[in-house]
Amino acid sequence: MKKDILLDLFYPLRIWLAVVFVVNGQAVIAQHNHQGMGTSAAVPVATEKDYYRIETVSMPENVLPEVGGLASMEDGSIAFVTRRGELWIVHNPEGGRPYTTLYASGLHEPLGLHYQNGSFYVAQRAELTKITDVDGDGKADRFETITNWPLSGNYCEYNHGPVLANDGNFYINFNLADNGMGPGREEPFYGEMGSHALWRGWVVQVTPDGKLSPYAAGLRSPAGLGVNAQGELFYTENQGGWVGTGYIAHVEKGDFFGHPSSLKSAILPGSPVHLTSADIPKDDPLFHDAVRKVKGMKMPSVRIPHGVLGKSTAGFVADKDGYFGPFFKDQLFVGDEGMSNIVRVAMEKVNGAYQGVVFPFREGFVSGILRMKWGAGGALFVGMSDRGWSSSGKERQGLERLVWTGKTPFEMKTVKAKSDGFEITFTLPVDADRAVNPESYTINSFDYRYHQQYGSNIEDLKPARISGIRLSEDRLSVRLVLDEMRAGYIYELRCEGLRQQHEGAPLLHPFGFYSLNSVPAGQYVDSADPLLIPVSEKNKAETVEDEAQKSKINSNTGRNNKPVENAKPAPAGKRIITIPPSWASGPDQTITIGTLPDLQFNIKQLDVKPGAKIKLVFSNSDDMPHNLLIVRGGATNEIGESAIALGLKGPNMQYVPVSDKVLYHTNLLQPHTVETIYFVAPGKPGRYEYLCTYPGHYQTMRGILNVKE
Amino acid sequence: MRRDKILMGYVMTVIFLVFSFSFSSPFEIKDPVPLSKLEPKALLAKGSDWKLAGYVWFDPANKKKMVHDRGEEILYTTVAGAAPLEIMLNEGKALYLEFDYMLSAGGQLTVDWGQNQSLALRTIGASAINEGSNGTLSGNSSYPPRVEAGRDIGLWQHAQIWLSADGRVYGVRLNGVTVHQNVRLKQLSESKKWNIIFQSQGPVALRNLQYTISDKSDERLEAVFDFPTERKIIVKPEDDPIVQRCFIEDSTFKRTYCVAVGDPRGIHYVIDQTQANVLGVWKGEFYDASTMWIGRGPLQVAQPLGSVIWFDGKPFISRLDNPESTWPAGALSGLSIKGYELGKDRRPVFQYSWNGIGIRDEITPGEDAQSLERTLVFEGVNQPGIWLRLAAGSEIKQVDKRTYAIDDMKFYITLVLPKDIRPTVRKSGTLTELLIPLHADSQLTYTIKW
Repeated sequence: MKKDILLDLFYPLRIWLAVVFVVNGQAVIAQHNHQGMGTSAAVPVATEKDYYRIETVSMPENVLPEVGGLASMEDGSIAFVTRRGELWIVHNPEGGRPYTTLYASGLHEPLGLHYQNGSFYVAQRAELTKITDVDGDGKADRFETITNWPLSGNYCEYNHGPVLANDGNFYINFNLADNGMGPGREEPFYGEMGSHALWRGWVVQVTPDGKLSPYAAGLRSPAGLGVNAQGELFYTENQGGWVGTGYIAHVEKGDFFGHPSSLKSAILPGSPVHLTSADIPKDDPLFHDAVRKVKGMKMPSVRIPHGVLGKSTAGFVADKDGYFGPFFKDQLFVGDEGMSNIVRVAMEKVNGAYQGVVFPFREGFVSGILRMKWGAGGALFVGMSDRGWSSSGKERQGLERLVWTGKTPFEMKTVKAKSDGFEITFTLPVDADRAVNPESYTINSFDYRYHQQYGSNIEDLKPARISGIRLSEDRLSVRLVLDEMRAGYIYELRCEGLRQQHEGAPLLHPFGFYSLNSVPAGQYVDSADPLLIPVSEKNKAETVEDEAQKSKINSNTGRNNKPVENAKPAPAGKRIITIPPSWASGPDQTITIGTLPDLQFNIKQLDVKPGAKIKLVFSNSDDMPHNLLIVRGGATNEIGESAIALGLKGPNMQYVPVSDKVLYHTNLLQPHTVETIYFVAPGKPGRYEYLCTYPGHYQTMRGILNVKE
Repeated sequence: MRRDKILMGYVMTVIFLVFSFSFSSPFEIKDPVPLSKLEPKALLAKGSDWKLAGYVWFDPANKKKMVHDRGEEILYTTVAGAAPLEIMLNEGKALYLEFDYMLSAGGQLTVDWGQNQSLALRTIGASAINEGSNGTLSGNSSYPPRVEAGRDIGLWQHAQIWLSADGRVYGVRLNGVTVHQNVRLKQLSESKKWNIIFQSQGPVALRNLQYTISDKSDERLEAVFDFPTERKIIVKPEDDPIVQRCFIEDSTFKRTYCVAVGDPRGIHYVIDQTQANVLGVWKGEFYDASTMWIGRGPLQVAQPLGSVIWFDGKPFISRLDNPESTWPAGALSGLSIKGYELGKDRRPVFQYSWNGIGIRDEITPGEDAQSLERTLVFEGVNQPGIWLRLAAGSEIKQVDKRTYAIDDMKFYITLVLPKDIRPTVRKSGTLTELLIPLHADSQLTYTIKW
């Protein structure tokens, strides 16, 4: 009861959740009624919080939980370290009124915490430290340096970890520095992030006695490091240069994950990676083609499409104990610092390597998620801190718990690749009529580019045709047979037409993305199986037509609910990049606007005269991509939200939504680039606005354009 | 051991590659205002109580002991109740004045600019800040300084004063610390002929007097008196000392293995662990963490507040081939940083291992909280030619049996050594260095006072 009240405090979140889920749910129902397939009347729409409840961990006012690391202790306490270098212990953390004590302070930006045999281990900026309370007064008094490492002093040289893997060694991720490219910076080839100290951009291994050695390379901004249910090492990566989208990857010694800056250290003795920047293709290949070309480059296990399921992939945990329900046992739960959400990842081993599927799981946390840890009672502690990257959760920091309510959500439990398609299993039996109807599914495959540019468009998108469907007798799994399996591509799997048996409810999350790194051999459907329902080619044509119809119906139904379409570029009249020939005497006014760190324009207010000829020079001096849209007064939030709602289409559309309220815009500018646009100021005096619509930026990156005489 | 050597070797290489471009120091003033210099000789009237000298020193421990030597750069007086030193300047709306000064035990220097407006420069007090404190302004009322920014007796200090003819004080800065900003002492007319009176109580000395008179606001001067840091997050030790690992940007570069230690009694230091050495000491406010903890924190440095005495950040211990060998400049090779322990008073004791020699390094505030006492224990001294470098500066003067005034009288080092160890003061290029040999396992204590 009390907990619901707490949740209600997050009023904006509630509204947001409602928009995303309730509207989506209704839209899906409406769509199927239209197609004459619906049998049930509107059912009560379940939301995430009916299954997984977010609770606030109550804390004294003087504690600032900018969580960088979490650890659980043998007595059930949860410890966390903060950006300001404090180590707090929350006693009775799953109770209603826990109490918090300060154990240590003065640590240098710890971004991980491990507890073992009465001591804590933290990776600080410059060293791995073992912290112990020797005299037993509840406060640490011994800080032992286990090993230290070189740094250039750049703020972005984060160290994520330590993580203890099943081999008894510690692992730490060395983030790259942010100064890699642009005027006066060295080696522009490497991109916007640079390696300015030894082993930057690497996973390093530290033995219990402090021997540090390089382990795997090619990391960019590897904000999460952890182990799966089997204790094997995985890491998560953030989108940027050379990284088209965030991902989770299995780390083994000698792996190279793609960011070339790290290769500066690969020439040194002890390096298990033997590549140089000369080995890196410079012709902007698709990511999976690059992996094929570069010997030793590894495919991430599961890619998490940017702007749809994540923006800044961070810490993760495996649910070994089935705390989130037996159906999700051993799956991975991955937090996101930008979208303040958790996604669910189910993996399988195909041809010796991990790959798998990612689903939405839970949104609406108060800040950017960095770390997660299970409590002794099965609550998942979620540690947050947005650190100037403007998370969807509006607080700057927080510590919350995520608790399973005991109810079983109707979800895709997992997806497995087969030689000729996919097998989807469900947590609850599905409605048979829906399950065997090909129109219940939409499947597309696509890839991202591997290049120095920040992020990537969606590339080589292709709808998949279902040629057969087999529903299992227990109605808990569906085998989809496809015409083609494109190895190396990401498969968008949408099951919006599916309904739960009897209940008739849609899936809580009707889509997921399977990273088909490899196609298993010898796992074909038995064409003589009486349960297999073939789908004729004719049906395909109908499906495509229906899809077109659906898109129309579904437009403006909110984010992420639509199948991927080939995006059309925004109309050109809103972005004129050469001076119009009619401007013989040049522009009336030239405006130069730039960016500040922490997602801001350097000018918050502009004044122009009605109808004036304006030359606007937008200079992106930040290390992230930005655009600039001039919109009608009061439209900033709406346009910012619609840009996010573009989902997978966003990158190809420069994140510029099609709307009358968008007056003029630049393209999405890479870090350290400039674009000039020419426009005529509105004739009508008044307040107009400008913003950046790159996902997550509009909340802070906005300004006012005053049109006045 | 060998592994540590290798790692630290990499540290060296990388640091020096990276810092081939220079970070700008946030502690320096750029584009100084053009100043007119006052010649000491020209300021002296015949028979004045003030005299000229080339060297002056007042002993903090002995009120009667004062040393002076021939020269013309310094103005000083030792006469009790000396007649004031009066300086007549031009007319204008604003006067900026800066000078070095040295006080004797119990001595005071009052700077008076007419209409009962003055600034009192006093010896540092142990008590809380009040109207009797160093840096108090007087006008219609008395205005104590924001913080104590003074230094010890017999050391050269620096005062910067920016005054308006209309009765306002734009700013007062002592030893680089702004202690007043925009204080109205009186309501006066807008322009005046400036007449500065230096009034002494007890022996005092002055040098490097410079000024400028202007009729309009000067952004460069505003920048001088503005705070050099954002002051959004000021870290203050309250109960226990604070031991904070951090990056520090001194005049050389951004150092990444630093630990700043702040004491609730207001005396602080920062070490560079890669040099096993003290990097800087200061009193007053501890440090500003704004660039570390706000937004993304791109600058990412701890900014010590107060009047910091920066040492030159070279290694504390080294092996020298012969007593004339140049002291190494880079990070200490063969060093393994072991960490630190907090004692009963929660003060850290740092531990290192250097080429097989164990080093224990404890730094504590002196009883009066005006000095820091550093106690080092060395174990396993296994080879000849090992030296410790306690201080370096433009010049080092031995002022008594155990005390050295370092770098043109900026701070004192006091040594208590076993009989068989003799300190060496040596010239090395433009630097003068204070070294002691380390022959065997030993414990050594020295005091840094300023």
